[in-house]
Amino acid sequence: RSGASQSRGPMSAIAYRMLAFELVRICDAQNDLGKLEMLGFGIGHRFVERFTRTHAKFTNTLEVVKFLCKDLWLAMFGKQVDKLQTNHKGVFVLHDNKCAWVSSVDIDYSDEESLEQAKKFLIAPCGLIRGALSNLGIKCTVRAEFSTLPMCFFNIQINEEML
Amino acid sequence: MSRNQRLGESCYNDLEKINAELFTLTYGALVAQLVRDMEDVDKVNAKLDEMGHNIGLRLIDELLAKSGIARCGSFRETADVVSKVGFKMFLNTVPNVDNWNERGTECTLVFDDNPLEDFVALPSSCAGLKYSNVLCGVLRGALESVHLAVACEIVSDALKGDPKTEIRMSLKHVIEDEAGEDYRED
Repeated sequence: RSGASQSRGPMSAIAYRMLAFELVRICDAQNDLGKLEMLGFGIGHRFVERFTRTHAKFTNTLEVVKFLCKDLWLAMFGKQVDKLQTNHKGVFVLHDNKCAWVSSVDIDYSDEESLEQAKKFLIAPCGLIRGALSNLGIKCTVRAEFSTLPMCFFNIQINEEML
Repeated sequence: MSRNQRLGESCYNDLEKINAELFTLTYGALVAQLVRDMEDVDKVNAKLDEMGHNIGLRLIDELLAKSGIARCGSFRETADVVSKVGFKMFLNTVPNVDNWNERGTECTLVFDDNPLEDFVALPSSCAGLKYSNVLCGVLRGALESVHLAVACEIVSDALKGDPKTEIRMSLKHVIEDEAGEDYRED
């Protein structure tokens, strides 16, 4: 069975966040937030598989990370990453001023417990980035940080390039 | 184009969006995880329904706030809003409402197109899985919030070779206000 999604228009981010919330709740109940990262990884890996089917081969890591920040982010969230920083030694920091995973109005950003919840929301997207890059030949470690939600930073540490 | 159709379109246009494929893959990952965790498909079906119920309870607030829709006068009207506004807004698809019973309390939502089921093929070990059961829960939760107790069931499933996925939706009863007469605002 093949999907019709080539022509399928985008869907509601609110409904998506509620779905993500349920995922967090399931993994939280099992005390296994690592599972969220793995789920994210699988989703990112598969998404890139379909998305890059006709894309030319990449030749270096910077090219791949730029592709992630521009093309992939745009395709997934309807916007590009707002800023990309690198120390040129294998660390990249993606700034997303309005991260789709946490831009929900139902998070009270002043409340400690809500912030803990928001951190959990960012585990799956870290896995998603790792999965996407893995499919493009880069092994890395990803962690998320935030100071003022919904602004987020994704810190990518490249471990191995297989390009 | 009917009034609800236009309303659904305009609400959909105003919403923040996310890639449909990402949505579908994420739902798929969730279902696959539940199948691995629970092994028993009946439990998975129940869990999907329960999750949907949680989601529905919250989605209805979004729908009411964004659409500004007035109180429905009948269950037929409710079903029309569910299809043309609710499903359009949140899943970008509009199921046909069909097969009403005479009393106007039961109908079938027929999905020509169900985004949740893109790229999905059920393994034979999951023959009893109601893959899109989350939708039944969403309907139950959302309508419960507007005082309508409904029962929903997938009665036809495109993933199992049926021509289309269909959900039978039955109005059980109208939920009485819990506050006494004295506290009624209207």
